[in-house]
Amino acid sequence: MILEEVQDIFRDVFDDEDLVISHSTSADEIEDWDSLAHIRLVVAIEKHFNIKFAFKEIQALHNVGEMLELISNKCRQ
Amino acid sequence: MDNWGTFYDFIKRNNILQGKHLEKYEKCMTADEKNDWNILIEFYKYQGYSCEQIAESYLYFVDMTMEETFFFMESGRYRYNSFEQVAKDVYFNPAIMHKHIIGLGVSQYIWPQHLNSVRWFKQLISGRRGTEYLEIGPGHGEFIYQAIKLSDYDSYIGIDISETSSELTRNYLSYRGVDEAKYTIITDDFMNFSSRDKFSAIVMGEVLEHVEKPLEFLKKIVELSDDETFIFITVPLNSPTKDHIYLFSSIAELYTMVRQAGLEVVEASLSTSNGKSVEKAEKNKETIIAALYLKVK
Repeated sequence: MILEEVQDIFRDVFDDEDLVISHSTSADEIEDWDSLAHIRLVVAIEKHFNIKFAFKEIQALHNVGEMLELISNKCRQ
Repeated sequence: MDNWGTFYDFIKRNNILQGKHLEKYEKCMTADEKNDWNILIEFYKYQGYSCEQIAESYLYFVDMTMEETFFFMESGRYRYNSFEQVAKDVYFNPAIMHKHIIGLGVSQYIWPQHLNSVRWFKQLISGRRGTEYLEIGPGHGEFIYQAIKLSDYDSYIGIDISETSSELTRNYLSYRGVDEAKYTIITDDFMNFSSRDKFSAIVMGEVLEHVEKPLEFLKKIVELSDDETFIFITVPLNSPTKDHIYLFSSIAELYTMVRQAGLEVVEASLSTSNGKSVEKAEKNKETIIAALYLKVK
């Protein structure tokens, strides 16, 4: 469920309605996933899930799976 | 391994997204630009920094910019809005200022929005001549160096509020073999600067976003200009860094201020940080660098 919601965010940020992500998806697979897009993703995720990340937490994220884990942890707090 | 290889290797090991950026944008640099980048790295090495330390400074600059971007996207504002707040932490903190200037200097070649501004400046300044050239905030020294190389003014003056920055500019020009007799770099607040004569050219690269009253800076430029003065400024919009205190949110806002100061836009070059259209960047509040060729109205 969280993956689907995060996928919608990815599709919006990268302006690609056909984008499909999985736990292993990283910046290597998405050409436009640069530093700025990374910030846009996490801010959109914060707003959607009503959670707050620290900057160091988002710096350490390397793939979608790590994002999902962090989101789950934050939602449980 | 050459400088580029060492630099890229360090960046890729420590920041995957920046490594990806370098791979993509290395291809955008011309052979001359790569050569200039390499000379810049050799200059910093001559100052006593290793290639890894230079790469570290660049990553400091990137991380700082991303942290401020995160804050900006969450809050819709820059973190600081007064000179006093940033002076202590950045301008008058030599250790930070060195990393900041080095990181910014390196980014002139590997951030497309900066590279495009430098390219356009070189086109515009080439062959121009006149009496005095004034540059406000020469910082890393790249604009004033290119101006001295490509134009033919009687003398070149740079004014910067930071002595660390002024010293770096002098050292860079000296390293690049520029005759000391051609230029003077002054450390002072530009608002305290005066001159009996009007300048033939006034250049100001990324300064307005660092001051509390940018309109006053533009009016001061008008005071020092006449109808023939070549005026070139670059201004970042929606561009959060630790020492940006004045937020320009839109191109229209910047143009309005330019007109209020008594200037008109002759030509403009707008660049985004990731190659996206200016319209999209403005809508998403992402960085646009506006390079403006101006004249007195």
